[in-house]
Amino acid sequence: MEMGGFNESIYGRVVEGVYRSLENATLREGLKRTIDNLAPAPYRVLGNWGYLVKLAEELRRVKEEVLKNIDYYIDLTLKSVREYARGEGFYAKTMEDVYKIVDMILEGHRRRMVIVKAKSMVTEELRLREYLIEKGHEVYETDLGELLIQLSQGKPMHAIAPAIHIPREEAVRLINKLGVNTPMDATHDVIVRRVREFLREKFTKADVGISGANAVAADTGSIVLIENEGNIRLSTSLPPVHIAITGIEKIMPTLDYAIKQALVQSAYAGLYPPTYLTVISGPSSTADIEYRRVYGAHGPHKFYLILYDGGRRRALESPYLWEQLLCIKCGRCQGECPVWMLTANSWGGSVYGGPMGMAWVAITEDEVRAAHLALLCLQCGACKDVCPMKIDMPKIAYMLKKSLWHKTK
Amino acid sequence: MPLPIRDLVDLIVEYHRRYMLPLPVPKDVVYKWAYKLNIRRGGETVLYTGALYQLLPYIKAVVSNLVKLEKTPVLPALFKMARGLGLQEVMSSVLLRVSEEELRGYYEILERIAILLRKAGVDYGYLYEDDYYPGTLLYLLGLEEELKVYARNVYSRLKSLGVKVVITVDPHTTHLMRFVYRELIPEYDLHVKSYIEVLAESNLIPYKRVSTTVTIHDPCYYARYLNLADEPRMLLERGGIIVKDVTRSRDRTVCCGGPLEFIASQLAESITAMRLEELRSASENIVTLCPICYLRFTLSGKEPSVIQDISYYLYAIYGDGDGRV
Repeated sequence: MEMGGFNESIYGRVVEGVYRSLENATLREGLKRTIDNLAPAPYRVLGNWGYLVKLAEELRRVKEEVLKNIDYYIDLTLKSVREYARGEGFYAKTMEDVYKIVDMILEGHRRRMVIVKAKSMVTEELRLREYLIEKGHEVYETDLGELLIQLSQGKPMHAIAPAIHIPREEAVRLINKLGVNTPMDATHDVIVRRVREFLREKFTKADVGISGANAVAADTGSIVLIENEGNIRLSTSLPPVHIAITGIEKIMPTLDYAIKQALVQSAYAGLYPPTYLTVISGPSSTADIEYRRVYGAHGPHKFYLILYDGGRRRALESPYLWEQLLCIKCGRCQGECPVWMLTANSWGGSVYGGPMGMAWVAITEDEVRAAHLALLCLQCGACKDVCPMKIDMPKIAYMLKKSLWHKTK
Repeated sequence: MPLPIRDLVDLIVEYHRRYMLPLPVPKDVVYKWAYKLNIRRGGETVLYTGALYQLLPYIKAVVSNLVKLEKTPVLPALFKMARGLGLQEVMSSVLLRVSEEELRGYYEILERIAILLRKAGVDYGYLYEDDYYPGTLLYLLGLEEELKVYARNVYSRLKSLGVKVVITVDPHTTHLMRFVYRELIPEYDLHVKSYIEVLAESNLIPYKRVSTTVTIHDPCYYARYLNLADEPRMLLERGGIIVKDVTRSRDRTVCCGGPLEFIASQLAESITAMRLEELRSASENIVTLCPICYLRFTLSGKEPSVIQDISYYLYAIYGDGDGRV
C-alpha cells in the first residue's frame, strides 16, 4: 500500500490516552452522572419548543452562505464594529497576531492588571489565560467549571460543561487553592457560594474583562452571549475594558440571526431558555445630559472585538473539514457518542474532543493527529443525527481515516 | 499496549485481495450452510449473506487473541519487529480452533432466514461460491481506494451472474451495497433489500404466539442509516411478543462497539458492556439484528441475559414453531 500519514506512535499515544481514561474510575463516574442529566435535556427542550428545530435548519442555510463569503463578512463585521458599535475590530490570522493585539490593547493601561474571563473555547485554543499570566497579569476564569479547569491545570472535557470529570470532593480541594477555606464535606451550594464571594471582589477590581461570543452580527458589529451563571454579564459589564475574542465562523449576517444562533446553541445544549441572553454593541454610554453622548457609563468605556482565524479559512478549502465550521459548539454530539461517553475529551486534542473534536483538532491543531483520533470513531452516525447543523461528522471521520492510508492527491 | 495497526491493516487488505474475505477462512465456510436447504443456484433475485454470520466464530477467535495481545506489554512490540509475520500467525492459527459445532450455531441463523423467506413466498436463489463479503471492514477503516476496487470486483461478478435483486441479512451489507457501492460505482444498479424489509412487506402469517418480553438493540446502520426500526418491532409484536424499548433505541440507539474490535479491543469491550447494561434495564431477553452486535453481546453477556438474533424469534413465530431448524 502507498504510504499515507499513519504513524504507529501517534496512534499509540491516542489509544493510551483513551485507555487511561477507561481506567479512571472518577472520570467514569463523573461522566455517567453527567450524561444521565446531559443527554435527555435537549430532547425535553426540543419537545417543548418545537420551533427551535426549524430555526436550526434555517441557520444551517444562512451559515453556509456566510462561510461561502467569509472574507466579505469579516470585512463587514469589522466595519460595523467601528461604525455602529463604536468599538475597535481586528482580524487575527494566528495566535501570535491575537497576542500582539491584546498586548497593544493592554499597553496603555497599568502594568499588572486584574483580568476576569468568561469561558471561551477560542481563548482555550489560544492559551490566552496562560499567556496573560506569563505576562504578569492576574487572570481569573469566572465560569465555575472553567475556574476548576484553571485550578487543576487541566483541559476542558466538554464544550459547555468543561469540568464534568471533577467530582464535588475534588472541586472543594481545587477551590481551596484560592484560600477560601471550604470544608471537605461542603455541599454543592456551599462551593458555589464560596466561589461567588471570592470572585465578587475580583469582578469589582478587574481592569479588563475578556469573553468569547456565541455569535457575532456582521450588520451591527454586535456580539451575542448566552449563559446561566451571570458571570459573563459581570465580566463584560464591570471592568472598564471589554475584549471579545471569537472564531470567524461565529459571524452571522444580521443581528436577528446572531440572536437565533445563540438561542439554538442553548437549546441543543439542553439549557433553554437561557437565563441570560446578552447583546453587546459597543462600550457603555449615556446621552442623558443635553443629549451629548459620553462613552463609559456604568459598563466598559472600551470595546474590542478580535475575529480569530486560527486555521479556519484554510479549512474552508477542504472538501470535508469546511462543514465543521457550521458547528455552534453546543456539545450535543458528545453526549450521544459511545466513545465520548466513556472517555470524554481524553479522546481529543488539547481543547476539543469527541465527534466535533476530530475536525476541530484538524482545523486548529494538527490534521495528522486528528486522523488518528478518527480511527476510534465507530461511524455509528449518532453525532450527525443529533447535531443541530446536521454536520456529517462520520463522513469527516471517514475522510480523515482515508488520509492515513493514502497520500492526499 | 496498542496493537500494530499498520501490519493489521496490511493483512486485512491482503486477505480481501486474496480470499475476498477479511480473514483467511476456507471459502466453503461461507456457503456450505445452504446445501442442507437445497437452495436454487443463482437467479435474478438472490439471498446474499455477505459472509458475516459465517465469519463470527473466526472473528470471535481473532478478537479474543487481539484483546490478550493488547493487554500484554511486550507482544505487540515483538510483532512489530517481525513486521506483521507474528500477527499473520495469530490470525491464521485461531482459525484452526473453530469447531464445526460452533459454526453450526451461526449457520442456523441463516437457515432460519432462508426458510422464513420461503414461507413469505419469495422466489430467490443463492450464489454459493459467489456469496462475497462486501468489504465492511475496509469501509470502517477508511480504506476507500481498496474498497473501490473490491466493490467493483463484487459488483461485476454479480452482474455476470445476472443478479438484479439482492436480499441481505445484515445491516452493514445492506448499507454498503445499497448506498456506498452506488457512490463508488457510477453504473451500479443492484436493488438491495434487507430480509427484514422483505418479511415485513410480505403476508407472513404467525404460526404461533410467543408470550415473552424482549428489548431490541437497534443496529446503527438499520435504525439511523436505513431508517429501519418499525419493521422488526411489527414482526415481533404480531406474534405476541412484547417489545420493551430502552430510551436510547430506534434512531437513538447506541453502538455495540463492534467497529473497534479489531483496532482497539478494550475500548470496544467497554462500549459493549455499557450498552448491555442499558439494555438489561428493559429486559434480559435481548434481540439483535446484526451479526456484529450479536457477537459483541454474546461475548460480554452473562446469565441471566439471553441474547438472540431476531431470526430466532421470527422463526418461532412464523416458522415451525419451536425456534429450531
